[in-house]
Amino acid sequence: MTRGAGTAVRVVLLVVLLLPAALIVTGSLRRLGLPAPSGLELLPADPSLSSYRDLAQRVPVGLLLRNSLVVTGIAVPLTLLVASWAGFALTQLGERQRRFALGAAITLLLVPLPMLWVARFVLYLRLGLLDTLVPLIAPALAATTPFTVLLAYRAFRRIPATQWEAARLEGASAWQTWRRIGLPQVKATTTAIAAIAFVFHWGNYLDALLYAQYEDVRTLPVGLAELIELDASDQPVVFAAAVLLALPALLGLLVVQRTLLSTTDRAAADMD
Amino acid sequence: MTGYRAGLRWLLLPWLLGTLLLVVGPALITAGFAFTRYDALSPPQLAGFAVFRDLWSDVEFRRALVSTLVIVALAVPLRVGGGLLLALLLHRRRRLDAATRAAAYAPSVVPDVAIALVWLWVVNPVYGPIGLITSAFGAGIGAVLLDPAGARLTVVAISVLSLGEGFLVLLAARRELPQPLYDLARTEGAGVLTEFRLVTLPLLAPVLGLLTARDLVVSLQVVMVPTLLLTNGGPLGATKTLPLLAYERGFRELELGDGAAIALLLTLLTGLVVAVQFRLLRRWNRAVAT
Repeated sequence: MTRGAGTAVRVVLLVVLLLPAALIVTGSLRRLGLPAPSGLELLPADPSLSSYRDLAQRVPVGLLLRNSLVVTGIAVPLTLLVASWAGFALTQLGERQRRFALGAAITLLLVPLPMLWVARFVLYLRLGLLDTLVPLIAPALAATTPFTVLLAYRAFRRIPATQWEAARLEGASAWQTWRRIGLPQVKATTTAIAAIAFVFHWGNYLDALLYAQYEDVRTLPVGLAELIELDASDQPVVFAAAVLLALPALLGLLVVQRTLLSTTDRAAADMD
Repeated sequence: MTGYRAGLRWLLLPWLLGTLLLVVGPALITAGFAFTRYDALSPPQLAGFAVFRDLWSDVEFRRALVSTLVIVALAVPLRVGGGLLLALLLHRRRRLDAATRAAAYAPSVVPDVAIALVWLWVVNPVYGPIGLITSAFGAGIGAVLLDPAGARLTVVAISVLSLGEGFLVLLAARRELPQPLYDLARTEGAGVLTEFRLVTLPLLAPVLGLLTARDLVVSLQVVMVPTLLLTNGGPLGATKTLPLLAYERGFRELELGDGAAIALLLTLLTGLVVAVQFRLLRRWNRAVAT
């Protein structure tokens, strides 16, 4: 393929992916009550935030946001600790234990989610945790996804084992070695894991649907999903809801982009 | 020394316990519930294989099985192939590559409720982009989500757009391939396609195999919520996949035993396909090696 064709492919890809996003953002700024535009409207003639104000009247944005922040505020640090500790330990445990744990992590990626629903429901029911925020935070106890553990393991493995040896000879405990020697060297990966955890928990609608239906524990995705029933004439409100929900997750993408999507693995390693 | 090793085990423990409590345990217990009738109010009644016999003669289940197979058969090759194409296209440091990589990954981080809200607009026949473009050519589209084929294609499209995870994995895998092999292929005069067939594909085959296996699960998972919100499994069950049916039976109709049985069948089906696939992959590997 010639270089020109390659650039053309990239431009087409960018346009196809970014144009709808731009139309959604500008569409959310269209003044409410106007008839739907008759063609593609890149920027409304008279932009306003009325759709966002209307959104705040239709759903209790304050309550939804508070619940979402509680969930992410607990689940993200929890995921980080669980994944980082496990990844760190895996680099230094015996070969057999490491193989078993890594094999398990990869096998778990192949378990369909519906396989967990009924038993989790019964578990939360028995513990009296249905209709609380706990079922939304709980996945963090299992590192949210085995992916985060694998990422942490990869990052710690890049650090020469002699550093662990040295710390151990000086009498440092495993926790101290993780905290003082390991963690400071894998900052970029730690941030990426936090971003992955945030994206999952911020958008988590399914667990709420299954285990947390009660009004007071509704999170942002649950509250905004109710807007699906809206009239088509309120399109700007639907766009505003999509923007409100997607924007923080897209900021998370920027973090992932700097490490996981960067040009070379070495770039990520240098940043660590 | 022993204290340090014990410390390491303590650090691994939270993840092991969490995984046992929330993944491994529930998976095993759900498999047990699959052989019962249970409504969460009265204790579960053991029903044995009768649950599965009933499902097999259940028209809705059979239809869901077909819908699942159709959607997976369309989505998985497009997702894995698309991810591979993007990874090979964008793995270098070139102008626009960083932006394009981010753009390709973006739909995968957007919350599924937002995706549903957006697709409501995308397929709107009057002012959605597809409707506007087609009617500019005098064609126009009908109500896409009310047409079985249109609804299925929409679900497949949503699944294909969120190929970010596979793209990420393939991107990392492609970067780890040794450059000297490519230099050698170049000096031997190999074209792009030959290079792909003889160098890239065989080296990436293990990753592609694992990704395809994972995709059998993920391609259905990423469309679950958008499908629920956009079509609710309709029209006429065209988009009611097995995960959706498991949810409906288990949590809307409170037949948790049925929900568990459908989940178990889905898992067994996935396992079967994965086993066949790995066998084929191994045979292909041996053929390449000789």
